[in-house]
Parts: sequence; structure tokens; C-alpha cells
Amino acid sequence: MEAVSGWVLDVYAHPQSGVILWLLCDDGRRRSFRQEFSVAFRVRGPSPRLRELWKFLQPKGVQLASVKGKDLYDGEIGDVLEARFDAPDSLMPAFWDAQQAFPDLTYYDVDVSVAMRYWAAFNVFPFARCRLTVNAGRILTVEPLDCKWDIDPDPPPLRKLYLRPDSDPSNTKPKFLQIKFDTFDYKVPFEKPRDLLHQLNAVLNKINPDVIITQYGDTWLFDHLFKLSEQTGIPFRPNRDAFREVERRKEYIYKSYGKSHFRAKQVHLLGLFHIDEKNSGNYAKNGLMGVMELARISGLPVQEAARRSAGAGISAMQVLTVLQWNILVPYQKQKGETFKTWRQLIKLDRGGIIDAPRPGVYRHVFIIDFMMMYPSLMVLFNLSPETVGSNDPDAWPIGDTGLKVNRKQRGLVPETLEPMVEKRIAIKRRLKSLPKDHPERERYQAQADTGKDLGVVSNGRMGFANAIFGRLPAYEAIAYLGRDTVLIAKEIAERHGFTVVHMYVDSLFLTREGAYTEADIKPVMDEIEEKTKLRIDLDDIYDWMAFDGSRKNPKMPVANRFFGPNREGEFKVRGIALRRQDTCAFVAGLQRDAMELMGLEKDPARLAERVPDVIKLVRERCTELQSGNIPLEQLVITRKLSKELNEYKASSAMFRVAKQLQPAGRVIGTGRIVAYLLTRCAGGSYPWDFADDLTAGMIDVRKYKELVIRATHELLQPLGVSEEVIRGWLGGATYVLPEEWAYMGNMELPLFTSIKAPVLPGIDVTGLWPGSNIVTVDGVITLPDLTAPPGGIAEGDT
Amino acid sequence: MGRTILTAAELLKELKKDLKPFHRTIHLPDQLELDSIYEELEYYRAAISCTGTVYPLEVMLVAMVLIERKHANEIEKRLNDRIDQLIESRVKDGSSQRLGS
Repeated sequence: MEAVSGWVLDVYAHPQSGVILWLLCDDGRRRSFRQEFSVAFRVRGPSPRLRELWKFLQPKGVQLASVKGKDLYDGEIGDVLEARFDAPDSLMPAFWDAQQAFPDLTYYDVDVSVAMRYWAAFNVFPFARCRLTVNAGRILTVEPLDCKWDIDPDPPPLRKLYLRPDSDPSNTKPKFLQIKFDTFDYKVPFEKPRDLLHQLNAVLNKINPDVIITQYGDTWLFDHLFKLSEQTGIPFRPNRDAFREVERRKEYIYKSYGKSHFRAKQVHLLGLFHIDEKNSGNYAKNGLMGVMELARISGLPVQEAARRSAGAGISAMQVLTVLQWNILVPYQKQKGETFKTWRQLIKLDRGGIIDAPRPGVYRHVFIIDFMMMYPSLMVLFNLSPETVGSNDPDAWPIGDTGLKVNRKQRGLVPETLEPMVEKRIAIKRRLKSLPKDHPERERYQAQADTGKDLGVVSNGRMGFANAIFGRLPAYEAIAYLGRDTVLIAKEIAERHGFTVVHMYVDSLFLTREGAYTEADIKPVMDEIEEKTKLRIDLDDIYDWMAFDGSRKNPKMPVANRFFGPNREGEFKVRGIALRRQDTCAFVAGLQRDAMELMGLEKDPARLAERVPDVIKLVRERCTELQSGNIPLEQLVITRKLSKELNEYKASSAMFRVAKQLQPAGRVIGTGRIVAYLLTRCAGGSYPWDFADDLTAGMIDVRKYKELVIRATHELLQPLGVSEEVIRGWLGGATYVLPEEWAYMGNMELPLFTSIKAPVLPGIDVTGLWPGSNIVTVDGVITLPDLTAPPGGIAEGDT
Repeated sequence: MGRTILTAAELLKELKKDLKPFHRTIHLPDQLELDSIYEELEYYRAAISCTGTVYPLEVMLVAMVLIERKHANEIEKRLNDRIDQLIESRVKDGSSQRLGS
């Protein structure tokens, strides 16, 4: 008998019985152990039917028992039938048989993974530190040594191996495979498959990696390597568990927040992890640290945590809590929407508060936001699917919603979320205390971002139709309290003399004449915290914040399109081209550079003086574009198909590209990404996949210029510049301030109200640049210098 | 959830659609005034949404009254400022004449 300690890497079912656990031991060895571990599903229903099911399952060698069951909503539900299996893999086939024969019964604890059951049983999690007592390779006891809510967990010394083909296989056939580990970095040609496999096997044996990070590993690389292995007879076994094949998951389409997403097929390894950079959304967003954090917190296996959304993480966390409470996990959602009147529906069926900010530029904008507002509300008010909608006479009424919440009994969701909320707040505080170049910042940031993602979806999950523990009244109660909380904060800010420029779900944009330091906003934040009992954070103070209006009508507000620099010159940007996924790198880069030129000006009243620099930059980039000096990769536009191709009615550039890709054998459908260039041939758009045939001369410069004009307009529109004026400027017109700028006089910062003196008879030179030329019917006139430079307004003038 | 009922922005669109015959029939200067009221109404979307009433038109009418009230107050303030300026300039001029006399 021996004691072994280390980090838990993986747990999965043994084909015969129990589970296999992989441990990264303190001595550096990676060891696997077996452990007896049975799993069970439970069934609820009328006793005669349960007896029939008993008889049905008995010949299949299942261990059957009658046990007491507890349901989340109904509490104690009396006797349920328990079907227990020593081999976890036997559970699902038996369940399918049972459900087919007895569809009228209610099934519980069915589709809970063996890993989740294991975490719940032994209070461990992926990358948990633990001590095992082992005898002859069999685990006897498991002792957890750390907690998933530690903000400074002892990090496992993971060995990482990178495998990357030199091109996108769906576009060009790769020639080399890059193999990278620590300081080793070399390329092996695919055309020498024997060498490739021998070298790969040597690397796998020598390095024995814990994580293999690939590009196109899910969709191409592993399949290709297995094919080469078959052709050459050289074995290729990337699993640590040499007796098992790799696990394959099928591709699928899912919807999230009204958008369709495609998830490609997957290759999962046993005993180590495979992460495909091109098919792992969470890894792409938060890196390996973020994946590890999501796995630790939620219990999702690492390879799933890399690929799945935060919503799956929240569901997994709820399942863990329920398992630890010894409550049955329903196989499918059981509680639907309760009946409500039309009046109730109108009142309750709403999300967060989203204001319509007035377009323009605002000076010294404070953004304050509630930290984890929705999760905090759930914790504070005990909002959970089983607590909201209570008929208990002592239950607490939620405003005028007609809903009541039971606050006597702790809810599932608050119980699940509270430590997560506390952890994120602690990490955020730690981050604020660290210098910007601190080596630990990256890890804390990944942890904080993961917590934020979980917090963001925790509310939506409650209203999600397929969430097992979701229930609409709970969602409605949370949304109501969220709106109420933000309105309380708004009222407090206004009492302190602040103008509320914008409200967005859990954040407020505030400005006040003469206020520009943290000390100015602190009393507001203190009062909000005291009144709401929620933590509020100062996101930052911005020298100015520009809000766009609608493209067609600049006076029409747009909720989420703004940009502005903080005191360090770092921008907060939402909704403009450089944030949108369908913007090509050329346009995004140009917009970013132009925006940073504007950011050099701290005083919004002088922003107009930066316009010539912006236009100069845009002209230079357009000249580069015209002369074919922009690499084609910079011009690639990527868009996602939101539906099947035959459902499209309009023939857009994306549609035409998709149609071109189909005959070439590309699978095109909902959620798939289409990459293309705007060209003067092939119907105006050309698939990036076929770009080898393209030359710079085929690019439709006019269309890209149009995108440039729109992106520039997004930056200058808050100053009152129209697209037509930008077109004129780019077409060579002189720097004449547009007539529309006068409209700024009605705005918070009337930038040009002081430059309205007509100096030439019959010509309104409102805002004209000194020394510039204007064309009149009498010929070209050079304007004299004005006393006040354009935009250069003294503080008192505003 | 969230897609069952119309958003405030959609309600405003519906209002404009319902009033289209009215809009067409009134004279151009009135149409321009109405358009400017529509534009201002957009800034009340959050408030219309939060009210959550089955009669959104009533809330929109309250918002329109508010828009006009703000406009009237603004004019009144500018007028008062102008009157103050005039009084001040006359006092400086040494004139004892009352305004309007």
C-alpha cells in the first residue's frame, strides 16, 4: 500500500468496471490507477410500473434497489427504483432499453458523466491536488488537498506539445507539420509519412505530453495521421491509455442567444488532453489558463471545457451541487413556463435595461458597473428555479411582478454561484492591486474572465428552454430586480449632480461638470452599494466618450456603439467596425489607427483638430489599397451562415461565395464560416479558399473604399460629419467643415458653436478651416484666418 | 424568452406605421414637426420598455408631452436669459426706461 499525491488530470470509465484516474504525481510521473466506482440511474412512477421495470431490468445483470428519492421542486418523493452498474459504460444502453419499454416513467441521473459523478462523490475536480491511498494499482481512498475556490491554486507542471500544419487543410494541402515543445521547434514534411510518424511517436514517447495543442486536429490532422498510420503500418497511438482508441465526437449545430453556431467534429484523447485551437472557443478566448479554470470550477472535463460554452459550465456546476445535495438530476427539463395573463407577460417578459444614448461626444465619462450583478442578485435574493414562484404565505414578494420568492430554504442557484461570485470579486481586487507587468496578471485575468463568462450566462441559462434547472419565472424575477437595481443607481447618481449619459444592463455612464477623479465618483458608488447591497466597480474614467447615432439618421440613437480613451489612452470600444467579426483586418486596422489618432486629443472640444490627421491617414491607406499593396489576407471578410443555404432569399456576397464553394466539395450549412474577398469578377465576391487564383488587380477597390468610408464615418459621425462629407474629403475636397457640424450646438459639447461668424458676404463659413479654399459661383476664395481656430474653443465657450 | 413581445423600438415602428395615413395627410411643415417628435421619442425607448404596459401608446403620449414641455422650458429659459441681458445692457447704458415701455 502506498500514498501518492499530485494533480488529478482525468477520470473516465474503465470498460470492465469502475474508473481510471490519471494523476500527475508530485514526483513528476504520470500514473493511472483503477478504482471501483459504480453509477446508477433512478426511476420514478407508479409502483406497479416500477415493479414491471424491475422485472425488465433484472435479467440484464443490473443491481436493483428501492431507495428514497428527493426532487429539487417536489422535495421528498418517496421510493424510486435505482438501477446500479459497476461498469459505467453499461448505464446508457440499459437506460435506452428501459426508456423505450417504459416511456411513461420519469428518469433521473441518466446523462450525468462519470467524471461529474466522481467529482461529486470525492469532492475533487480537474487539476485538484489530492492524496490517494493505493494498493496494487487500485485506489482505496481519495483525500482532496485543495479547494476549487482558491484564487492561487498550486499550478500543475503541464507538458505542452504543439502540432500545427503549415496551412488550412480546407484551403491548401499542408506540406509540413510544425512540432513544438519547449525550445524545440521543427517541421516535418507530410510527404514523408514514415519519417513523420516515427518522429511523432518519438516525441510522444520522449516528451509524454499532458496537453497536445493542435490546429485542425479535430477536423483533419488526427484523421490524416491515422490514415498515414494505416497506409504505412506504423502505429500511431496518441492516447496515454494504450488500450483505448481515441474518442470521437460528431459535429453539430446549436443555437445560442438567437445565433446559430457550428461545432466541428472532435477528437478527445484519454489520459491527456487534446485542444484544437481552431475548434475550441473557450481556449481561443481565455487560453489554457481559462480552460483550466472553467474545468476546475465547473467539473467539465478539460477537453470539453476547451470546446464548450460558459453555459455548459453553469449547467455542470448546478448538476454538481444537486449531486452533492443527494437530489435527483432530471433526465429532461420537467418544469415549463407557468400560466400568465397577457398583462403579466407584457410586464415580465423583459431583459436588462438598455438606454438610448444621445449621439455626440461627452467629456470625462465615468463608467461604473455592478460586479457580477445577476449572479449577485440571485445570491442576495435567493433566486432559483425552485424558490421563485413560491406559494408560501411568508414568501417575499418581488416588486409588483406578482412573483414571490421563498427565502427560508437556500436555493440551488445561489448555493452554486455564491463561491464563484466571491472568487471573482477577490480576483478582481487582486488584479487591481498588481502592477500591469506583473507575471501573474495573465493567470488572474484568465480566471476573472472565466468567472465573468459564467456570471454573464448564469441569468440567461435560467430562461434557456433546454436548461434542466432553468425556469422562466426565476429569470423574470432576476431581470426585474436587475432593472430595479440599475434605476436605483441612476437615481443616486442624479442626486449627486451627475448626468446619466447611458445605461447598459449593469453599467452606468456618468458625467458631471468638473468631475474627473475617482474621489468625485466615490460618494456615488458608496451610496449605491449601501442602498443596493451589491458591489459596484469603477470600470474607468474616460477623457471623452463618443456615441454614434444611426448610420441613416445620425439623430437616431444606437444602444451599443461608442468609443473613448481612458486617461492612459486605452480605448473602450463597442459596436464599431473593429469590434465586428465580419470586418476585414485592413479596415479594422485602419479604424483602430484613426481612432488612436483621435485619442491623442484629451480635450473633446478640440477633437475636430484631429480630423485632418484622420483623413490624411485614410487617404494614405486608400492609396495603398488602390496600388495593390495591401496583402490579400488583410482583405478577407469572414461571415457565418445563420441558416441553410436554400433558406436564403437575397443573393448577398456571402451567399454567392457559399454557392461557389459547394461544387468544390466544401460542406456549407448553418453555423459554417465563409471567408471571401470582394472582387471585380465572379459576381463580386470570391472564396478565400480559391485565393491562389487571385491577383491584386482583381480586388474591387471601390467596395473596400466603401467599407473604409463607413468605418471612418463611425469615428467622425459623433462630431457631426456625414458620409457624404467624408466621401468629398477622400475625393480631394478641401477641409471645409460640414454644415452638419452646426447641429453639434444642441449637444452636450457644442464643439463649433463659437465659430459662426460669417466673414464673407453671402457665404456662411460656419466652421471653415482658416486658409482653406471654398468654391463659389464667383470662383475660388481663400478664407482669411479666423480668430478662433476650428474646434479650438476655450473651456468657457462650451 | 425575450422574443415573445415587441421591444420598445418595434413598438415605436408600429406607432409610425399606424400613423402613416395621418402623416401623409398632414402638410409638409407638420410632417417635419412630427418627424422630429418621432426622433425624440427614440430616446425614451428604455422608459417605454420598463413601463411594461399593455397600452404603450399612452406612455408614448406622456413622453411626447415631456418632449414638448422640455422644449417649452428651453425656450422660456433662453427668453429669460435674453431679457436679463437686455436689462443688464440698459442698466449699463444708464437708461432707466423699463423694458417694453
